[in-house]
Amino acid sequence: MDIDELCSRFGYRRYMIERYLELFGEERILNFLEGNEQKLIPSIKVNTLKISQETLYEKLTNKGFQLEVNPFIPDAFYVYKEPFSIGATTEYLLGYYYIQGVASMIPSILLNASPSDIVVDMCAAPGGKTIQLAQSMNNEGVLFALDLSRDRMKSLRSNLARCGIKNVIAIRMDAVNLTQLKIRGISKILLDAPCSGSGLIPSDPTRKMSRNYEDVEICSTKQMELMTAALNTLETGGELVYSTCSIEPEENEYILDAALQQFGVEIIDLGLNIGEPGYTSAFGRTLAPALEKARRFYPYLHNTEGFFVCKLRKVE
Amino acid sequence: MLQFREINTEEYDVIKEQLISSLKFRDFERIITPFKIIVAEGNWKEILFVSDRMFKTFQDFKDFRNPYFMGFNFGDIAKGKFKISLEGITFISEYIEEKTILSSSGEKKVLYGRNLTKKDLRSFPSQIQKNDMSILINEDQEVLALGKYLVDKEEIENLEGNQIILKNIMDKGWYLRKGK
Repeated sequence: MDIDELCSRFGYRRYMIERYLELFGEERILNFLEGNEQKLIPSIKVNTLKISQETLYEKLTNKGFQLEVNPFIPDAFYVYKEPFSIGATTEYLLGYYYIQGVASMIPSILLNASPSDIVVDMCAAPGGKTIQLAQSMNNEGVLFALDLSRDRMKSLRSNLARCGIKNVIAIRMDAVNLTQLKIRGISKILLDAPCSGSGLIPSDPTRKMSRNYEDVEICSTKQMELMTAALNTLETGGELVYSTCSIEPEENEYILDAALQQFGVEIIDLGLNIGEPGYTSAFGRTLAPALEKARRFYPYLHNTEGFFVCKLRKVE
Repeated sequence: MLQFREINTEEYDVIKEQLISSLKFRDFERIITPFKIIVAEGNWKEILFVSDRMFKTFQDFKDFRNPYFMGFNFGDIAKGKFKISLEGITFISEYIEEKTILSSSGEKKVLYGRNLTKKDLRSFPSQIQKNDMSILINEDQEVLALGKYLVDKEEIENLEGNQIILKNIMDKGWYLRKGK
């Protein structure tokens, strides 16, 4: 397969095509690249703290929106037709839903937080996953939402207020310093790590050219720092969900593999009927067999953004 | 840097009195029962409602890092006056019987941040005096905004339909205009 031709036809940097050819093989790379050219169907998650799925469906369809229940995610809709922006309805302003990619809805569900938990959302802004966690906790318990960016913190606050979230303690800080807080009894952690965003190409094609391999390496270093902080803080028996919107193994399986080697953790079966298994080897590196329990999502297979998710339990 | 602490008696009384005078809301003690009231003090004072458990957790880490916010914001005190927030009016709305119901055109206008005319109102409270505040809801009883009447009730009856009678104090369109 001619790499230069693929670069030219799909508009990617050469290093990306070389890597994807190795990951997907000649038989799947065209499907993958063509999948990234397809527009994803917008999706929304119902805020069940404020409204039922049925009532929201009725309200939005009465306004001309065409919705379809997502078969895999509870309380989520695909939005097939928008007479006006789905982000500008009265129902949106009332906090009845938030706009979120389907794959991004999965990590909070997998964490299965409850009101008795102390939960940390390490990279929380703009807050879609935090709102989901608060829903799962019935707006009770304690949910820490951390983020470093001042602007993104403002968005987080606005989104939480709009959706009526009451159980969040938000702290503007770099989550790599989580241990400094000395919070006791953290039972659940969501680490939706900052990443190179290669899974977001369908919604942001500029990422085909705006990133280089150094960005992957920088993200990978940061992700390992975040993972280390998380696992140093999580109580024994506690659970952590790790996710990114990157499809690069260095930002996903490599991080989990290192965590398995350095900490007393085990990978938990996600119990998902969708998604591809995680890699147990990539780019010549053999990884822990348990990584097949992780899940990968691709636009061409799952009609979602490219995404990775894995769940760990701290055992010692 | 915000300083977080429990509310004092003076601040408590300011909120209570302001709710009575502006919204005729007298149940402040009742609605706060499940919460601790925290003041985040900076250039002004944010009034935050948190659960006991959140407060205890905050006590554990407060020496190490200050929160950006916590719980939900009921309003702010600035220059000795309390101003309720959008979340605050939503929270107390179920305890306030008489609200102003907007028409669908009124709903759209208020969410664009605009003031309202007589024809934007479907119904209004039985007693209205100039400068009275009122919670504005749509026909589905959903809280949209807080408004201030610019005229007495008797005057409304005699006004033209397109004269502004209700000033938009705050509305949930803010989340789109400023909150993104």
